[in-house]
Amino acid sequence: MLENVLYLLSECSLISGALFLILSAIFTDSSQRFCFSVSKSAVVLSALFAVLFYNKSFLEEYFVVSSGTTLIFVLSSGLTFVWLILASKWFAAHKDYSAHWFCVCALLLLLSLKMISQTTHLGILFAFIGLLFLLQYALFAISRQSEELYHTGRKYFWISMLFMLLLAAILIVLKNESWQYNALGEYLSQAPKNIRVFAVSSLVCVLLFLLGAAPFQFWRADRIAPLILPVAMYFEIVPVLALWTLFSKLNNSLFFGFSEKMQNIYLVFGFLSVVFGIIGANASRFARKIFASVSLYQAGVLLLIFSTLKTNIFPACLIYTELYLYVLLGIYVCFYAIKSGGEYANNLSAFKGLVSMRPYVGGAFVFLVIILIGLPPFALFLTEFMMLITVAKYPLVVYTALLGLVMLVPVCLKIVQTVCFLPREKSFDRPDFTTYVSLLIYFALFVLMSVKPQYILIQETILSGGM
Amino acid sequence: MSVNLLLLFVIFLPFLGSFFVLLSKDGADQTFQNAFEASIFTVLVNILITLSLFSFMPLTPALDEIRYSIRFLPFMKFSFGADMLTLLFTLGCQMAVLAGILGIKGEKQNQRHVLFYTLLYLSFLNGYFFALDIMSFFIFFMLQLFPLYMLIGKCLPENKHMVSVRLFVHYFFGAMLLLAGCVFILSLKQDDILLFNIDKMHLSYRKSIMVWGGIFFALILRVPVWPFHHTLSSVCAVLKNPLVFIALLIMPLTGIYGFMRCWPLNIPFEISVLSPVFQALCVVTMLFAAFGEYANLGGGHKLLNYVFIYDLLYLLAVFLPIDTIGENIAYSVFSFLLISACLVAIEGCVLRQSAAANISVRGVLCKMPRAALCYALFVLAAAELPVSAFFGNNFVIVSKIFNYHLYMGIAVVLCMTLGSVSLFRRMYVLKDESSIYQIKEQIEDLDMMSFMVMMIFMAVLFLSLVNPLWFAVLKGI
Repeated sequence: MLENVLYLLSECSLISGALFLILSAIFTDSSQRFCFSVSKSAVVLSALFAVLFYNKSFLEEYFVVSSGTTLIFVLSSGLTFVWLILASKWFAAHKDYSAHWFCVCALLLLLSLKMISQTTHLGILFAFIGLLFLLQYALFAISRQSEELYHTGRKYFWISMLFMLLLAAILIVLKNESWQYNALGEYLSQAPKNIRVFAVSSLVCVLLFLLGAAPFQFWRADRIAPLILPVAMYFEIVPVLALWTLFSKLNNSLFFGFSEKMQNIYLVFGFLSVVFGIIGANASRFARKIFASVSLYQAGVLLLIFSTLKTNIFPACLIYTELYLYVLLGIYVCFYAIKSGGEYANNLSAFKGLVSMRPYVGGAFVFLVIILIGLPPFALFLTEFMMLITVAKYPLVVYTALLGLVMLVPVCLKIVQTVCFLPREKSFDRPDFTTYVSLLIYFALFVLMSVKPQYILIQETILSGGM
Repeated sequence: MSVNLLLLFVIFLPFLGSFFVLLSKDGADQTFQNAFEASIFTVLVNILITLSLFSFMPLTPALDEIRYSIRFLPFMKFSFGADMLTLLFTLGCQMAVLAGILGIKGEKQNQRHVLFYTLLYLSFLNGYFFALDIMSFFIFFMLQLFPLYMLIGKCLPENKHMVSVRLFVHYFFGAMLLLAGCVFILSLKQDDILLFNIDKMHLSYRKSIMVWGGIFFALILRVPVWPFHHTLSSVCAVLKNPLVFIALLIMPLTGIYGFMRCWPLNIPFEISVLSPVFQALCVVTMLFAAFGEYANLGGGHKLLNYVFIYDLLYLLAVFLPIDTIGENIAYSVFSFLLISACLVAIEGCVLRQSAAANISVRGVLCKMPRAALCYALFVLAAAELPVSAFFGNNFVIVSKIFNYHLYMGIAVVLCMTLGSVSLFRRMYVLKDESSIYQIKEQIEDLDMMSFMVMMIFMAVLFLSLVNPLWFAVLKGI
């Protein structure tokens, strides 16, 4: 019994951190800095405890904790940690926003992502997806910038609830069955056709909505772009790894009986996401919107790769996603550094002539944008290449992914051109010292990963071990 | 010093040098003397190392003479190597870049970034030429594009940026096709696949089409063949910087080099049916370029079309089913690079002087004796007069084309004649003595350093006529 409590320490750290912040918000007048310190400590502690008990679960029946899931959680924690560091800068410059509730949301979001990636029970998944949606709506509420955003947040909430209802309907339909993934998978492969079609298609819809695939979230870029920078960064970076883990898990344990049909479904939605991503990126003039569209394209490519249903494709996909998120993280670090008159730049025209005034930040930004379109021999290119080699038997997938990249080139060049070649129209604020230090650390890690990709690829062994 | 180390030196020295150039301090009056000197030094050392690599070569060229492999990942090995073909292409590009750097010496605007990207570009070019396996070949094939885009972007007027985007997308599309080809090749055998071994692989009919089609289109998109290419001339038309112009002119040669490296002697059966169509397209494009050159009065256009004619000549030669012609093409390309780069550099100097004095270019060379001498000598060499190795090797190439197809040979000779006549016409304009009286302003001649370098280039060309391998026999340079 006592050891079960120990295995819960990781979750307890997050919950206690959130509780402490709630209480301090109600009873004391603690500073923003204090809130971020508490939340960062909670995240670090949680990750440490997770590593300590990397293969121990407090309820083995409902949660599978393996080296793979622990790795995903540690990576998600790392991303959350950096997210909180950068967000603290934003909140320091915007005193009128409450950091308390933001930090509470951050900790609870990480908790729900951990649960979502580790659970093997549909009922628990339902509960934590519900919590995730609520917390994401809370982030919308924190990001109260305009009337339009308020309506977007409401729309997102109601659509999320619709998918929750769909999930609830599945649970009601399957109320007499076990809700364990494996048992459910076996039942569904023999169940009457109407139940099977309903359950599987509903689950796939919920999954694709969570992953932000088109057309379920073709308005994703419009939703993310106007949000405040810390919230936009959350949607782009933090939940991605955990949600793809869930996707892989459900595919392995629940949908294994419908492989051929899944192949076509993922192919169609992957293709749609690639197309919507390309169109969205090329049509936009807002930097964050462009990168949100590029993320949609990446999601599409991953779906296309998954559509081949090759064995052991998941580790390669996850490493690729991880590196993509790393590049995106660098781009967001640059977003935090690019300010003009105290305002964070979003419209592309606000980046004009950045390199001439802030050569280091501008250069880093341009470099990362070029990396995004697959500049060899960096690690992102290598992992993409490895992934494509694995699915080389499916030329349609290879050509769609590569031609999609060609279509993304004009928008990336538009950014490069704006930052490097166009004359400067206004001055940019001097980024603080920590921004330069973080960029330096970021690029040192980046070079290390590119020179020694073995350090990244070692994860493949861990992830292949099972989720 | 180990020859393998020298090989890596040639690739990475310009890369290192580029950072010295980037970090060099500007002069008080925004001059770029430090950057200029750093880049000249880097390219000169690069040329010397490449020349010393020649001394390791036997006189009979064979692939894979010097080879160096690095295992990057357990399943990925990068192999670099050099033979006579590689070294001639590398040396030609380095010398062309040197001429280009000298060509921008008198520029008023700061050229630090241009020099930085040029050295990066040169480094990736060297890597491309030395690449032996398909993976490193692709990596350097792709890497060339980014410094080139930055170079063009730096030098284009603000309202012309869309042209450079189009050019980049064009090349990038080719790179993606090559990547697809690499993916299909490496999915069969995940180890280093050497370029000259691709045709020995057992590919299914479908895969063979995808692999050879990918390689063919990737490389052909670099060569100005209609309808595959139409953006290069739009970019060159608005470029004023001779160095960037030269960098752009090297791009088609990378496509030709790619064909020489990985294209089998007999065109793969799957796409061989398209061969006559393709050759017809080459000849038609060549004719258009030749007539365009003749009709156009601008120096830039004339040089551009002249370069296109020779690019297409080499392309036609590469597709001939003769295995002994590669050496001639390499020697000819080497001479061609020197000639065209020097002509571009002098033309750039002439245009700059005429723009500074606000006069027409007619007769300007009469006031620039050194430039006039260089221009005349290089035009003579460009016009295939037998003063250089250019003539001898082109003679062999054209005779092989005649042997292969009479009408094609006639069309090629017609185009080359028109090209030469057009250059003479341009020289006549620049040396028109009847216009001298209009020029009252002081015109600055080609500086002594550039003049000396161009004369050395001329000597190299002349000595190559006497003995094409003369620098190869100078052991231990």
